[in-house]
Amino acid sequence: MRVLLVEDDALLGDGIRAGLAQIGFAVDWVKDGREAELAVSDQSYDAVILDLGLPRLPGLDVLRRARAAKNPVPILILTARDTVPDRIAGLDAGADDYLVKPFDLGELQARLRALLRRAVGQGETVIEQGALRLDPIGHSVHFNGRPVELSAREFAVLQELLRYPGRVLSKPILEEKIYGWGDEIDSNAIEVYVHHLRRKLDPKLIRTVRGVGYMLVKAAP
Amino acid sequence: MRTSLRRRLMWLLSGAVLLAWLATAWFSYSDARSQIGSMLDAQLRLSAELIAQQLAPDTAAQGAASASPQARPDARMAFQVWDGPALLRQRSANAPRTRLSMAQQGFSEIDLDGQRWRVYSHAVPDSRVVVQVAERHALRDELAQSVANHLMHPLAVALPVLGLLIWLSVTAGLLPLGALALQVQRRDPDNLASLPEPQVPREVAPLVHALNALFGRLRTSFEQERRFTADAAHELRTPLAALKTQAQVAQAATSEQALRHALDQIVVGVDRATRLVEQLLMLARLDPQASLPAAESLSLPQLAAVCVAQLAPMAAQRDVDLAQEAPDAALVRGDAALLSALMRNLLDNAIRHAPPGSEVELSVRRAADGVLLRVCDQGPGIPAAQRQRVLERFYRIDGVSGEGSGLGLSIVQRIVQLHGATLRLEPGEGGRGLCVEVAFPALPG
Repeated sequence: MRVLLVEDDALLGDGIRAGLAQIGFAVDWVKDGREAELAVSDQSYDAVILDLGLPRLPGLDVLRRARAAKNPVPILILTARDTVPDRIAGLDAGADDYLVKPFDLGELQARLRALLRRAVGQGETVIEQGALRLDPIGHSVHFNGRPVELSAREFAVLQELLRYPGRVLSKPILEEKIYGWGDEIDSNAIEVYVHHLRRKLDPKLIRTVRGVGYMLVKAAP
Repeated sequence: MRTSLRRRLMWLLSGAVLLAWLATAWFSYSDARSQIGSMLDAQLRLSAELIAQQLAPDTAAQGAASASPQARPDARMAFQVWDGPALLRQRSANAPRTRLSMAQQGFSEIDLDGQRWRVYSHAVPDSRVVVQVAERHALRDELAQSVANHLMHPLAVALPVLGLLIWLSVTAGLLPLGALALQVQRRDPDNLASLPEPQVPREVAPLVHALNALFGRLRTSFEQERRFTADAAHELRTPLAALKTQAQVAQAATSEQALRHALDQIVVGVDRATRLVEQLLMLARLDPQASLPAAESLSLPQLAAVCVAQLAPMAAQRDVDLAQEAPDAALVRGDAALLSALMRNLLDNAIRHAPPGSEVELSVRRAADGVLLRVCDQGPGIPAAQRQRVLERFYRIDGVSGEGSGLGLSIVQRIVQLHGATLRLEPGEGGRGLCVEVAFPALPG
């Protein structure tokens, strides 16, 4: 899961990035409106957390420009502006959610998960695929009813594959989804995570499509 | 009692109309009286001349005076015909036997049986005969009275009608005022928009203009208040949100290193929030203050030296040289704590924006009309367009990271105002950096 964080406050931005990394999200962090506009248009993020009071370009303008360019990325406004007219203006400008500072880290995480569920049209919170059961909230995975211990990155790779069962995801796409800008990426990291997943789950669960990427085998209905 | 414009206008207009009418009536009455007087006088004279003409040439021969049979005792006129001073030749029945008037010729006034009479004496030429005709004076008064009555009667009827007309006119004249009052009354309390001025009568325009000016000032002050509250909420919420988030990150941290980092951040955040709250409190204390109760004569260079010493460690940490240029003993009248806060804020700002290896200089010097305090840095400076705005609360220059609270210069400006001084921002030497100049007024005496 790759999230763009737009926040000009150093301390808060640092906290949010750390808090989202704890649940396996990759976070890219920009600190002003112009950078935000560029990042939103260039990259394919799963969600954007947007502050409104930004230097150089107000958050609402970033939002309006993204929507004017038909960018469908889920956007959550995170701001100190708490009046009802502010919330209405934010949602009507194209935001998918609105959270007022100070907020609870758990609530921010939950709202992001909800946005991601809605974005792929999944209604249920727990993803089930054959004998595999992944709970993004409890951060737990069960296989054939028995709990499986996964690291944050292994979990992130599995969750990404589970979002699109039966479809091939390339290695760069998987890397993009689980690493932020600052993170160091080992060239064979994805292969290592897939290898671990196969070992902990079922060797036949994840198929390698040589030269293209990886695919989670869709269970027969 | 509250004065009523309408009642006042009613009294004034009615009084003026009544006065004008009474004056007109009085003049007409006097005029009528004098006209009636001359008319009756002419008649009196004619009567005397007629009687003289009709006197028989032999009258002089007749003896005792006889009363004319045609004269009734109550007639309004009487006459006597005298031959010489003592001989009454003829008289009307109502005339006395004594001579009516001593005058030989012309008009005179006499009292007879308690009544006033007007007498015309006509001396017949070439004889000793004098004809005197008298007329009761009351007749003139009666006639004049009747003329006056004719003048006053319509007034009695017209005055109430006129009063009603005046009342209606005054009411109609005051309608725009009523409309204006209604317009103001019907506004909802949040509406501080100006009243439309062109539609208002010229007489009320100054009032509406003053009202609009008041609305304008209220609008500005409400707007400032609203923005300050909104800004303060925003500025307080963000550090609180940061603290909470860092604390929750620490709670869920799985590694020693992540926990350590989050806790460090919390300490930084608390320091920052503390500074912000202190500055907000300082502004809140300064805002309602109108004067300086603790003002005294102070040596600005001495105070400055203490401040420079306090900020020297911060400057050293950022590799900025701090210098003070204050050779002479410059006295200002002010509050020592506030002036120290002012200089600390200016130095703090300058050090934050000064590039490493540069110098921040504080200088004090005496000028013709007071004392000048200058703090100059070699930082990026402030574009001319933003120099006024940086004094606004929470205003931060675009592209400058939000390390400061955005309140420092607002506090400086407030302290400057309280000291009756003036604040000026300008580029430093060679257009580089920023110089803040505070001009204190000279000490009285």
